Formats: sequence, structure tokens, C-alpha cells
Amino acid sequence: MTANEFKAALIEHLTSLRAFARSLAGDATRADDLVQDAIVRALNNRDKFEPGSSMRAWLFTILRNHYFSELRKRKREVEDVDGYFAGTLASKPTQPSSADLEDFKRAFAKLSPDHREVLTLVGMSALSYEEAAEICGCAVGTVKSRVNRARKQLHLLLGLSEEEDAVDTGGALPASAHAGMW
Amino acid sequence: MSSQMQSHRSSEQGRIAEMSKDDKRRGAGSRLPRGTAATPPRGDELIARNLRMVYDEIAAEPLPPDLAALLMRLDDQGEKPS
Repeated sequence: MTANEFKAALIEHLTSLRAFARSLAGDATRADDLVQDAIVRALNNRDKFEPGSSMRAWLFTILRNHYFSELRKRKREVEDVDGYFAGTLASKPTQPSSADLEDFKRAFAKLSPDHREVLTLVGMSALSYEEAAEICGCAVGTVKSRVNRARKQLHLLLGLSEEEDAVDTGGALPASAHAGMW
Repeated sequence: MSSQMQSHRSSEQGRIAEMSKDDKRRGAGSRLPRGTAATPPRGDELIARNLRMVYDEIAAEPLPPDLAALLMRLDDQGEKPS
């Protein structure tokens, strides 16, 4: 893979990487530093990327591993997800949907790190359960379970009724999740 | 490498933040919520819609200078940043 090809792939997934970093680190500035570090690591190790495998999963894994490595080094640090998700709350409502989004950010910030992580990967970045499992280093079933629990938790936090959803997902996201719905 | 990536490389200069193919693939037009004010979305759709909105917010943000500079340094010669 040439440098240009690698760069194109990085750019392709950049927004998802930034979103994922924020779900981990919370603070937007710290998250972008995390993305930058991850990109440098990826570039310096691009010869280790196996052609044919998922570049996206590889990049996310590098970012995630780097985050937890740094976190272990900085044992004193405490996650501050509110820093981003609450910190980006609009100071004044601009349109009807703004209020919904702000409520959502507040609720999202209250989720456990595991739940935020899987929702960001599967729900926001449209990764498959398999890719998310590879990135998180857990079983596919664990990802599905976490997504379902996260979804239920959000329902509770947002005052949504489970009955509003006509389809019983059986513990997983709706089928539309993998078609970009989530 | 796909032709999409090749075409992307040719037009990337100065447009890194906006030209993410993720953004295009998940562009606002194609990601508008199915639910509307007239027909409130179901719970899961509401969650999905808000996740997309958060994603769109991030996609719309300019890249921080350091990150943009890093990407711009990756030239055709395969330079590895230190």
C-alpha cells in the first residue's frame, strides 16, 4: 500500500475516528490529539497492515489501544465524557431538533464507557458487529449485548418507551443498523 | 485500492475536513431522519437519528491545525512523520 493510498484510507475514516476518540476521551481536544497520535502510529506501522483485512478496524484498534495505553500511564486521569458531550451543548436553542440533540448528548454521556464505545462504533460509524468486536477485543455476542443494553439505557434516560419500537430486536440493533440506519 | 480512493487523492488538497468519504457516504442528504415533526420517530429511530447528528457535527468541524498539517505532510513520496 502506497503512502497515498494509506492517506486516502485515513481520510476516509477520519470523522469516524474522531467520533470514536471522543466517545473514549470525552474532551474534543484530547480526542483529536488521540487521533493524531493514532495516525502517526498507523503510518509508521503501515507495513504491518495486512492487505485485504479491514483498514477501518485496524485504525480503530490502534486508536483504542493507544488510548488505553495512555490511560494506564496516566492513572490519575478520570474520563470526562461530559467534557465533550455536555460541553458541546448549545447555549441557546437554534431549532426544534437542537433540544433533542442536547438531551441526547446528556443521556449519552451518562452511559458506561463500554456502552458509549459500542454505540459509537456500530450506531454512529456503522461498523459491523464483527468489526466492533475485533476492535473492542471481545466476542460478537458481547457487542450485541452491550448495544442492546446501551439502547435500553438510552430509552430510559430519554424517557422513550420500548413499546414505541414495533420490532423486537431480540437483544440487538434493528436490522436497519447495518444498512446505515444506525 | 478502489477507484474512489484514487479519485479522492486527486482532490484532497485543502479539503481534507470536508472531503471525507465517510462524510460523503453518510452525507446529510442521505442521512436525514425518516421521522419528521409530523410523524415523531420511534425510540430506536430517535436514538439513531441523534447518533447521526452527533456524527454530522463532528464531520462539520474543521480539523485542528496540527491534525490537518499532519495529513498534508503525507506526500506522494511516502514520507513518514516523526
